[in-house]
Amino acid sequence: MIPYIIKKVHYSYILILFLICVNIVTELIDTDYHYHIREEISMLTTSLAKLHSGEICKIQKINAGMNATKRLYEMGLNTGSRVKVVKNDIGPVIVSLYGNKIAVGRGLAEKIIVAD
Amino acid sequence: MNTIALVGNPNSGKTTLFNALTGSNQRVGNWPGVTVEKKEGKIKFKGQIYTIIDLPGTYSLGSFSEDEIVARDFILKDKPDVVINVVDATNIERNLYLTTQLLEMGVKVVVALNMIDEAKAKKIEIDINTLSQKLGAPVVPTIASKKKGIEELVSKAIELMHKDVDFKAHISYGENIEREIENIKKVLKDVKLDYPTDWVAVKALEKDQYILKELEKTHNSDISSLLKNLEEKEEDYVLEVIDKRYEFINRVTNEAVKLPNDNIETISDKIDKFVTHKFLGLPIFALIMFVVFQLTFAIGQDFLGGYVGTAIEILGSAIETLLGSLNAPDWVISFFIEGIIGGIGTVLEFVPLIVVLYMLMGILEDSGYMARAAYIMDNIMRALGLQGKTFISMIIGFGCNVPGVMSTRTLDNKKDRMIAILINPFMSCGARIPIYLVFISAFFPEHGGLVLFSLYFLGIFIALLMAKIFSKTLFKGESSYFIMELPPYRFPTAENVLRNMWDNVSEFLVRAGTTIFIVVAVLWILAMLPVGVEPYSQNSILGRIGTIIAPIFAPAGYGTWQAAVGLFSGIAAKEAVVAILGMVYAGVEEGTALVTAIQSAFTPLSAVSFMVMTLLYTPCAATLGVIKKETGSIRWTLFSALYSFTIAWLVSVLVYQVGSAIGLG
Repeated sequence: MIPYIIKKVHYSYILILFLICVNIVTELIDTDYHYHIREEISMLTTSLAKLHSGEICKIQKINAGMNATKRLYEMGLNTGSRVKVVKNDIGPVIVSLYGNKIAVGRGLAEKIIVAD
Repeated sequence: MNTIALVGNPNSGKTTLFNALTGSNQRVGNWPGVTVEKKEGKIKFKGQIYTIIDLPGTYSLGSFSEDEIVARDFILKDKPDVVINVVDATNIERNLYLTTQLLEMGVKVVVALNMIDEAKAKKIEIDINTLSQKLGAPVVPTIASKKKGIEELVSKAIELMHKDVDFKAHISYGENIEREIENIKKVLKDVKLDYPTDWVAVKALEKDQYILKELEKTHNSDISSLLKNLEEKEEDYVLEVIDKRYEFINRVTNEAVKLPNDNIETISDKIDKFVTHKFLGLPIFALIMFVVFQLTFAIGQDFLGGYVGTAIEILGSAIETLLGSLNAPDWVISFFIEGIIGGIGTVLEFVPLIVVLYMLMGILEDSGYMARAAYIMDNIMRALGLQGKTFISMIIGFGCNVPGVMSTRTLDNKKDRMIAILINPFMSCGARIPIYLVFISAFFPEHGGLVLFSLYFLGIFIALLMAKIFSKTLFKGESSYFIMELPPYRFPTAENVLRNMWDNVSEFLVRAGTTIFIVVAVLWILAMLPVGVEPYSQNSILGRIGTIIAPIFAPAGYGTWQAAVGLFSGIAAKEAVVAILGMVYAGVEEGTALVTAIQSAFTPLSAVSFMVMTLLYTPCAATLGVIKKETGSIRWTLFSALYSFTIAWLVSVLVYQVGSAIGLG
């Protein structure tokens, strides 16, 4: 069984190459990515999508639609809660709330106003 | 006086607890939304039998998704005698939000403080007595995965069931909201509703769409003016109500829970660094899926499949000898050998493969990786007008499209959900694998893995393409936001994985024994009639049906009546296709004879074209049934059947014609 798998593994290289291409393309589409070069402005309030990994912030206001806001609230991301940004590069932003990770879509993360 | 409902957040270990309580068969998953319907189990306690209902995992009891409505309607309308609320101790604050809502409903609640061992490892200190006192509900620490605390939980729940207590949380909403609540209650006083008035008042302030609609339905003038009033009010209480609930929770946890100051980097965090990495995430995901299919093929087909095949052959010849010795008439022998052993046997040969596939899928689900897959795919899916969670329903569709379609219930947006349902059948389900395998062994024995993988890939490609087209045409509008919990990785327990596998495989076996049996039997009869005709010949009724349909498939390279009959039977059940092909091509049940027959009837190119057709064409009857159930519309069901056939035909013809043109034929 194991030799069988090894024999077939070379197909996976083609696939991985293909997926890396897909990845690069989606990254190019994702224009927001270029904003990640840190602007050296002292952060008072900004959106969650602009924070970097490791930063801790307090949620001030959520400017999203009622349904999305409600869902965020119910997941524990209500105003006043402190979250740590675990990962923010491409795709959804991952935040940690007392060690519990929640992925929030980029579009929605932009509507979450946070403060230091 | 004997129903207990289980309520809890996704990933709170609710289903594991249900298994620990009842020991029944139940699907478990470590990603949101595995329990798509309520499941029932029975327990015996001190000689009395109690029914336990496992409700879908939800974060709230609002009306966002189907799941939330199912859960809350059960609690409010079916009125279980007691509710066990499963709370994840490692994530207590968020989990208590649901508890608060249950307490508001005035139902009897026992809190199962689950995964208490993990909480201890994370240095979260919880004072059970204070928690219980502050909540006003009994709290029992449990470790569902190790079956700890179960007995005490049951006895507490049953004790509470027989106690006459007034369960009502004292959540102070503040002066403003409470005044509003009183106002609404006054209006509602004389109206008969299915729900408790206090609760309806709060929900109305929360602008719960479902409740507002229910209120509208009463056609009461006072209520209409009240609703109008609520709508026009400048101040919005929606979020304030939620905030007040959290205030209540904070008052409870401030005294009862001590959280560690620093977050330690857990193993989960370390794994996530790779698995969700910007560049590595996608290739890792692809590699995992690739290994899953290779293992499925290697263990399920090459290693185990042969044994089952041999066993069936031995059984077949044994029955033949037995029937022969009993002097049974020829047609009886033919029915048993060709119809039953040939039909069902061919299907059974693929059971090992399906067993392995479901086990591997179960491991992925149970470990928590599925949520990461959704996260990784969100970016790509968004470019296509969808969202990451849709991809999970697609992966589940690889096992079987029926649970795949059902799992779209976790999508809260109608647009996302309809698209996810319509594209799910393009995901190549387990039942289609046997068809590919026959053609692979006939033409591409050296490249089985690659062919199989390409087909899966084509399925995904067509699904995503159609999704893009649908989101630009039939279902315009915003795709829903992506919010998803990434639960910590957990080592999948053998029990959960095996249970998950057995649930699916037993369903497959039941289908093999019922639907497929009936299909095979009916087709056998059609192949025998009219009396006196050569069985399985073109002159039989079956052959004539095939002859009529066949010209449709001529441009795709397989305009034979046999192929047409095979595809025709596949609409009843995909598992039947191979069985029927075996009967019409070779009149035999043996794999090798069928393979030889296929080799002479197809060319490598028309074989590819036929595999593409079986991949994409009309979903099986069971899938169409569940599409009807989930969309609630016959028109969408018919649409699904017809558009997928059209797409399949077009792609199949394209493959054959382009292939012929460049000289592959």
